[in-house]
Amino acid sequence: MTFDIVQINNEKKTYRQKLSRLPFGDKLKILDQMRARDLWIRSAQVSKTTGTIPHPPSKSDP
Amino acid sequence: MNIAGVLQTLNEMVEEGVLETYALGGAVAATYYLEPISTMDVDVFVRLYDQRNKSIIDPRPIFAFLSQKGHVMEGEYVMVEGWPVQFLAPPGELGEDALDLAEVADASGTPVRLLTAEHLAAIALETGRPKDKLRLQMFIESPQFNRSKFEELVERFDLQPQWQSFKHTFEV
Repeated sequence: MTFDIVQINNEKKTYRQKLSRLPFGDKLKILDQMRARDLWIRSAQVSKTTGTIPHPPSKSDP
Repeated sequence: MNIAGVLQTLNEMVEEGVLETYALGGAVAATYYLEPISTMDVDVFVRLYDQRNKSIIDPRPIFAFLSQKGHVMEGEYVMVEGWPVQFLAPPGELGEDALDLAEVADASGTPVRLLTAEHLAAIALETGRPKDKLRLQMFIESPQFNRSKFEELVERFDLQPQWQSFKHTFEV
């Protein structure tokens, strides 16, 4: 853990480059997961009785 | 939710003669060159004009084919494998050029036609929404990006004012 903004930015850049080098098929699977999560976030409503929100979809969900 | 199934459906449409050709654009195409970019839809550029007489070609066979396969229309989208797919005519001469020069990529064994990184960047520059500017910045930072090829497109499609403004604002 660091609070050095330069180091944080460099590490983010390295991680983004690592993701960009993934095979396209793998990246498309990530898009599927991101869309499933986006849809869940958009539809999620905080329960009026319990104050909780449902669990997000797992990676194995279609 | 299976975007690979969308690609297979598009290829099937070409094989069946429903589409002359297609090319992915937007965030899905950009994801080929960059890191995965979250998106809510799949943009598919198709030629809806006859190049010889510039008449509009009837798009109904596209939707008839997809309906027969059980895909449902929702507004301007067709839902395919859980993804809203939008069929678009190329926007202007830059879009036509992008569709003509699209390249074929491999998605886990499925061939997919998509716009080049430089055309995607030029379209982002031309469109100019905040998310387009962010994507253009990502392309410019990418080691695979061919900046001189991109600047040729900027020159050829009269995008110098937007490019000068972008360079000034983002110091690239």
